[in-house]
Amino acid sequence: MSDKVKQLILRVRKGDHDAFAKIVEFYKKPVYNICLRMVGIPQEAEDLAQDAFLRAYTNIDRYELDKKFSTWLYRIATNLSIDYLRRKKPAAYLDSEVPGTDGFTMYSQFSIDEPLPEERVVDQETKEWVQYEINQLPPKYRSAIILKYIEDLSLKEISEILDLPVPTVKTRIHRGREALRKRMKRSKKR
Amino acid sequence: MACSDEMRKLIGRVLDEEASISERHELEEHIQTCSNCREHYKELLSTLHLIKNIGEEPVPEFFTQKVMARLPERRVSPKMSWFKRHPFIVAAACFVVLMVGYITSLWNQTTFQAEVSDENQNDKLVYSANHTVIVPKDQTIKGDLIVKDGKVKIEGRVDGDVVLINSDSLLASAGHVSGHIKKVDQILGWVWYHIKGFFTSVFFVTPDFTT
Repeated sequence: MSDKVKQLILRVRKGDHDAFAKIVEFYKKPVYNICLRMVGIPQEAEDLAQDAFLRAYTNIDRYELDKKFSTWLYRIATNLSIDYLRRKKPAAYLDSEVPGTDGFTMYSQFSIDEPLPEERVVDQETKEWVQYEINQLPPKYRSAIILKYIEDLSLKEISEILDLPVPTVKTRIHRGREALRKRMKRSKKR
Repeated sequence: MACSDEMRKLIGRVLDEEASISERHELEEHIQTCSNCREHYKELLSTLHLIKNIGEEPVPEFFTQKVMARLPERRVSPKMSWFKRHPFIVAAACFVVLMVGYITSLWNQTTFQAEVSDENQNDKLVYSANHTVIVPKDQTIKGDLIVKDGKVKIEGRVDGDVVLINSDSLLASAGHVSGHIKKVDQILGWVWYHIKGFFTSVFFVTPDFTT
């Protein structure tokens, strides 16, 4: 962890609010996006991300300085999101409309026999569809997929965030992407 | 699906970027001929491509200000939180301090002392010179007699134990004492005696006093 973050945390422990504001500024983007991809609803994601920072603030004495701060923070955000999903009725997701499904779509953008364009801009409609499909994953696969493919974290970091051994994380990533493949294939054929 | 789990695992390893060059070749050769696996592999690639490119959304406006407005006051001083984090150490330390204080206060009490466990029996004791306490001939003490830093002369009877702490018995044939005569000379023995007494009074058990 960078010394700068460490210094900020030491100042927060002494009651320095400005130091904490800097930490929020620095980490708000990944924290908000983890929550957003986990729950799929921007308003709820904002509340959860705020709660995650508040929880980090009240528990800052428990954070161990020799560990990576982002891991600790993402863990709080992930756990809050999983708790939220548990509290929420899963039926709410099933009722929601599938965005952007006029039938054929999405996969057809990428012809299977052509190489994938590396830096292709994914349009808003596609983003909503992908988020919808992520929402259909069970939370335990969802968290692994998001941390791996959206936040681009290493298996070791993910295992620390989720408090699971690395092989379990791998299994969840494999099953998660397999479930996504099946679902996305189906909605393509619809 | 015609292809085995092994092909699936190979696809997994390639996607995890764990496959060796020869394994990658093996997969590429296989999907040239096997349309099932080719489709499976391409679908997974497309899925991952879409997920990776969903990108990060901008954080809502005034996010940091909203968090800062909700911050509670931190009143917990670092010392308090240390105590909170180690309740057992704190409890054990308190216990040791109290116990040591209690025992040293007992040890440092007036040097010569003689008493009976039943306080009502204390006036039967007769004191004489040279820190000597006498159990008179015609008296029967009911209870344990404890003498500290002195001497005891038992002419009558004691229905109980006689405990001599740094003390001597001048005349005590076993016939006069129904219980045991115990000599406690070291502080550890003396502490042990008190701890036994403490547990007896707390748990209402009468331990076997043979030592």
